[in-house]
Amino acid sequence: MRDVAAIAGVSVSTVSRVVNGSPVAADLAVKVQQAVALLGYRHNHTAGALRRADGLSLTIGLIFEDVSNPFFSAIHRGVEETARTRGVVTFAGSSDEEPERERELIDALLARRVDGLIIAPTATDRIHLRRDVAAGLALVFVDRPPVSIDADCVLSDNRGGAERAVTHLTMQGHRRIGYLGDRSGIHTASERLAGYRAALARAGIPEERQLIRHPRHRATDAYEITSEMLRSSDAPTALFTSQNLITLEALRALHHLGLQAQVALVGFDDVPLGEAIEPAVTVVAQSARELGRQAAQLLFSRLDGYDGPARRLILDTPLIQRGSGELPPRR
Amino acid sequence: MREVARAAEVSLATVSRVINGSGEVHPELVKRVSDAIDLLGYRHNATASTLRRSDRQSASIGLIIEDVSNPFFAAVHRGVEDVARVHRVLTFVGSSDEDEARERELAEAFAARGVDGLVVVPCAGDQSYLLRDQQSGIALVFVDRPPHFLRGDTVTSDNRAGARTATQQLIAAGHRRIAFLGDRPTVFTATERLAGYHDALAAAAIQRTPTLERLGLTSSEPARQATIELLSGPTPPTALFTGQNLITIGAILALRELGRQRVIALAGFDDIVLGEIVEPGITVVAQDPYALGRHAGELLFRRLRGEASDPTTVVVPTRLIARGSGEIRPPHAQPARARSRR
Repeated sequence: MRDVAAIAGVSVSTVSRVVNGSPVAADLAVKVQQAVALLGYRHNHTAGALRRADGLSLTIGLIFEDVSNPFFSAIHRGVEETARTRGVVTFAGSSDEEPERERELIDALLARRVDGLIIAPTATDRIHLRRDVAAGLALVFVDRPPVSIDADCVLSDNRGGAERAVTHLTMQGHRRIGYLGDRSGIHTASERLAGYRAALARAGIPEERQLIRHPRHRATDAYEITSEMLRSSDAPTALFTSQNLITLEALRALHHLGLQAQVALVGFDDVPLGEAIEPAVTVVAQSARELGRQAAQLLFSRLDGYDGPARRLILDTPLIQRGSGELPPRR
Repeated sequence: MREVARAAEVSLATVSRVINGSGEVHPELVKRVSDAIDLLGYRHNATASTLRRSDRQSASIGLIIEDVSNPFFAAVHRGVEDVARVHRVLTFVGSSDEDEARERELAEAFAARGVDGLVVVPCAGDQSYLLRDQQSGIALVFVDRPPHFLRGDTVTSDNRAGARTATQQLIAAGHRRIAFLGDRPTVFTATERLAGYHDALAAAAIQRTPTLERLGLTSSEPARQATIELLSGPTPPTALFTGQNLITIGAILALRELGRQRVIALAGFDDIVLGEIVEPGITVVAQDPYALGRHAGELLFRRLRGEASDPTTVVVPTRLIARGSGEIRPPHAQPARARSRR
């Protein structure tokens, strides 16, 4: 830092203020930046953090089920956009819905002294972070609320969206509506199942157990389960698929059986090219990027000193009618 | 560390003792070592040394991709993560948005946080700024595109051959007016794919038509507009070769908007979600982005284990998947069929 100061012709404390983003006269800042560029000087955050009054590492961690699932990668992008404006960089890791893996990731991230964590928790999370939160760790949950700790979270309106989707189908006259959902225990899955049930109840339709299915591995089983359901003698006339990857597999099954114009479908979460297939896919859409942005904002408000009770934001899940959800029941 | 020892004219063990603050070292030697460190800009990397320790508590690497939310790069990310996970190493990730300054910012931010290595999808421009990191012991691997003004291990798809295959598929269906829709000409993969398209045209003795080559398309919306413009012109193409997943999506939307998805042939580079369900199914040359990420991760950890050989290049093959859109014949080539359908 002394070299930078010497070349810029300013004091070491001025260099320090510029590097740490504290207010400095514009012409001094330019001088320092030029000297920094000349010397290839790089501020060492880890070393700097020890001396910073706020003790921040300008690093946060994200834990998702799978970083390559388009839903989570859009959340990631939203978090990144917000973090970027504050010079904060992000670690990202996939829990694969395994609590053990989630714990490992949390421990590994804490060992690297992240300022905060944004987590889409596994179904059986046992996240013991009270002490870390008390010590200043900012913690925000996204997509799913925490089970074992009270913390800020940003969720989609899962139950309301599912109820809207299924009510939309009952309004078209459907009474046999198949439910294809994620493993029960995952918050989003149970909320969406509750929404499905509420919509049936409201339309006075009794629940049929064989129409409610939970693929174990959605990428492989959802296709088989959908095909099996559609080939049975008492096949449903409509499907509600409660997650993006399941929607994709159900669409493949419908198209391979040539039933896409006969069996109605509404999906939870939009899918790429959903408007370009025939019929186009009706969905209840989530704004994944917005979930990420809001989660990051909650996190940074904690780091900025907000010390109030845990907040819960719920984002709307509007119905987008495109054709597949408006097919009448097949006689 | 060896360079520091050489510059200070002391043994490697002395440098190590000074850096780790262990053992007794003569004050004069300490000064020589610290002067050498200043001179060389050597940054002691705490995490690099912990990599070799049993606890490996602070091991991390950085990944710089164009956009974390593009499904192609998200799959690369997962490939890198799966390799890093085995080594108990965490991954920093950031989007460069194909902006050189942003890429550099990310590299510096990650290096400042002590990463052991970087996997970079390099932007157009200049990666020589990474030389200092490379010399200070940060392992570097480039993925999807080779670096500029710097040597390093590189993993790419077989872009040129794949593009040639896709274009040949359209030529085999009888097309001679084939448009190319590609990303910015500064992007390596875009120019390689353009070259592969040119190779296929030349091999079939088809004259290039500059007005049929549209570059600079960065996302679906400009690709949709370019497709509409091309097809509304006085001498429109009968087939499209789209050079990247988002461009293919834009072209599909445009064809459907014009109601011409069964008339204009389309072959795309990169597979797309629902590509087999759109009607007609979309013929693509598929890349394996997860494999690109895995290869990059493996090369990186080989370097971190001390592999010191010259930089290598791994080329991952592509695969043609014919689903219908690329096999549509040009209108004039099937008058008999058109009549018999009526």
